[in-house]
Amino acid sequence: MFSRRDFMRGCSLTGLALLAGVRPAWAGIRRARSSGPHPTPRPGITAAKVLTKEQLEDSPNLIPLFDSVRGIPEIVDGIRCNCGCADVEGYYSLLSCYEGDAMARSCPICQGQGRMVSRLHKDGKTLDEIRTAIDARYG
Amino acid sequence: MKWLTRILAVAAALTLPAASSAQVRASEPALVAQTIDGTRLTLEYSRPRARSRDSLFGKTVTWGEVWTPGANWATTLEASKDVRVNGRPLPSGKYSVWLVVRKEGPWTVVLDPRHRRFHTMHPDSTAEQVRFDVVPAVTPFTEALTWSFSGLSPEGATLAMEWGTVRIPIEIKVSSSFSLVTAAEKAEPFLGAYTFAWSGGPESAKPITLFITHENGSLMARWDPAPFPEWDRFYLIPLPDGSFIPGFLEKGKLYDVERDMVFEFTTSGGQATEFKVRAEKDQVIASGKRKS
Repeated sequence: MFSRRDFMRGCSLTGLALLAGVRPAWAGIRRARSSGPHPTPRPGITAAKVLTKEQLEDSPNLIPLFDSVRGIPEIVDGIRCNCGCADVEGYYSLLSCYEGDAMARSCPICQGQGRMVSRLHKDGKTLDEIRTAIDARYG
Repeated sequence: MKWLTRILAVAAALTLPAASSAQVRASEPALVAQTIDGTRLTLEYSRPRARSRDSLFGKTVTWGEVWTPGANWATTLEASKDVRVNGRPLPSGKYSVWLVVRKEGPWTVVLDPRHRRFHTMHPDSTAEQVRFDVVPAVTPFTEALTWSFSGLSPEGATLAMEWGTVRIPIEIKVSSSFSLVTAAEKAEPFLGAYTFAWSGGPESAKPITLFITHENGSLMARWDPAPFPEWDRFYLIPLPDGSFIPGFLEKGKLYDVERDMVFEFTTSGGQATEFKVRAEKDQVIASGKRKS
């Protein structure tokens, strides 16, 4: 049965595809979210490990997002990712999602949090204000 | 020497039992978990079987015994946030679970913060424990001791232990993550009619109007036309950062929220003038402007 949840997943994942009767196979999937304290940004942290556009050739639409994260590593490093990856060994902060295997390549929550952090930082919000907003949306 | 190393490795693989297959136990370990409104409840225990023993209670478990309803290591209950158990506050944390079993009258549940205890290490009475009485009920026969969550509602559930013909129910209530209440003075800037347009929708699409009102202390949104008939209105639940998400009520109680539809309003001169609706990836999926 077509539900409100199906409708929303369709809107968020495929624009208005659902309104046209198209339902992707992965519509309806909801990812588990986890919450917890935000990490303290590591002194001197850089974005040296954030994937570059050369490393994102297969996902060109994500290049602007990774570039925006690369510009503010000291902020992104103070944010916890709430998609569940924070429990994975080697993870430190949302910045980790944009490095190495880069879960943000495919995870909508890593991507959403990264976009939100960049947007709010551009709006002049402090790290604490950004954390509050992240907790409200993704916590 | 390589051939010798290989032979030894193969011999070791053949003689060592596989770790997982050698763990048959009379009381197999089990885990049951339930998340309710963001509060995760996890119960870990071992499951003794009746194995044709008669009079489980009174004989296998003697009257007056402080017994962990499980086997081996004490059964544990973990709550990720503060909850109420049978009306008593239980701070978030992990607890060993014990039952004082009586022939007559109510039994007593003891939740002890010293959670890592073997079943023979009965806890002494401490102020940190949460204790409450429960009345055992008669239930159809259950061979292997079973913990389960039933009676799930937006506010809580019944956690029950069943073994033999005994059932011990424990009522758990969680704290609500959201409040429906928006004070009149805080609601005032948002009241009115707005255009509403889905991002990427065809220009020929029928215009949608979103009406925001304040009813019974809550912000209510109604759209015309609705995306489909069952969703013609919703509550706007305030978030700590000043945005709102749709909430849905059943029998007067909040039972669902749409986390992937966040309304961000822009205000000017003390009045909301426009809004954007963001989804999981922070992308704008809809927007609107004040009409009146």
